[in-house]
Amino acid sequence: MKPNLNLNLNSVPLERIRNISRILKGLFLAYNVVLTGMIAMLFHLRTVDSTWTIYGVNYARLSTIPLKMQLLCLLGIGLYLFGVVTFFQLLNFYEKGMVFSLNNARLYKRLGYLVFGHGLLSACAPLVYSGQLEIWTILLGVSRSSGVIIGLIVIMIAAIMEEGCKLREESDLTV
Amino acid sequence: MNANAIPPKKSNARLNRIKTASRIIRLLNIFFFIVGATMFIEMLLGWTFFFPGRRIVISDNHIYRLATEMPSAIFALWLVKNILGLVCMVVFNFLFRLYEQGILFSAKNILYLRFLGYGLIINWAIDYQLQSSLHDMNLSLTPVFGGLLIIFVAWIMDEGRKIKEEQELTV
Repeated sequence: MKPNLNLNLNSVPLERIRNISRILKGLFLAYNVVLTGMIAMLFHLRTVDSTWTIYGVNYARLSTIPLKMQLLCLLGIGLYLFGVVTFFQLLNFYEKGMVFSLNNARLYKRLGYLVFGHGLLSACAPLVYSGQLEIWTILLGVSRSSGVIIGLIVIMIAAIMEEGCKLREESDLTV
Repeated sequence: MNANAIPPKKSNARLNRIKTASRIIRLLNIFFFIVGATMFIEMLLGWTFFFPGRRIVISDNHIYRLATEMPSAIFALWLVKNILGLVCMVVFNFLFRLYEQGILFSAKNILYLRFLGYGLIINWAIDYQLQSSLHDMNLSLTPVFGGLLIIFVAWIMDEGRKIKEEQELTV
């Protein structure tokens, strides 16, 4: 793996990036631990007679959630966890001082696809539940989903970063 | 030239790919800006020339036909939200014009990216204020995380740019 592209490893901005990445990692870890704890507590407290909201659809009880919605919910959790891992990998790279590398750009791209996928899932899940899964209803749902739009922006930025990194690698090789 | 060097043709092809993609995205953005601005003006003035069936959706249970039907506080927030949205689209256009010109990592790119990140967060805050004042809340945290991610990317790019500038000045 190429460590970095022409960056002085002792410079002040790089040290700042490392520090912020370290702090962000800690905050992000704490957030996820608290979130997991809250979800666990919610399951513990609301097992029988509480209302559950899955992708904007309310259910009277946990047992009344249809299997397809449970599967979609699991898929959403999977995407979220994969996103968490990807973000941690990205922060690890920054902590090591790798600011502009192809690996970072690829991780951003993956993160963009995950946000996009999660947005798509959030937009389509209520349609799957109501059985209105048609092209127009999907397009309408997707156009309102912020996850889809943010995912697309991140994918575009990542693609540009990737191309920029490749360009600079090429110019570094050229004497 | 170094024996391992990649021919400049390949670099040009990459840069051209960025330029072409940016041009397409920019044109799409212009199209959506025109549609959005037309819809906004129609809703504001109560016209029904192009979008007769449109509705103003503030929350799940608060949907209006005309902007004048809204309470004044809601109307003011809705106005700010829409103007911010249109300004963000203009900034998005500026950003992709720079990419189209082959400028990938300049201070201006970073400024525009940062603006978009803050725009997403402010937009979410306005939505939050709108829905909480109507006691009809159904919001996702995705825009806040997305905005923070974009601000973080912009900050990293800015720091990287400073490092490069620092090194270019070092003899």
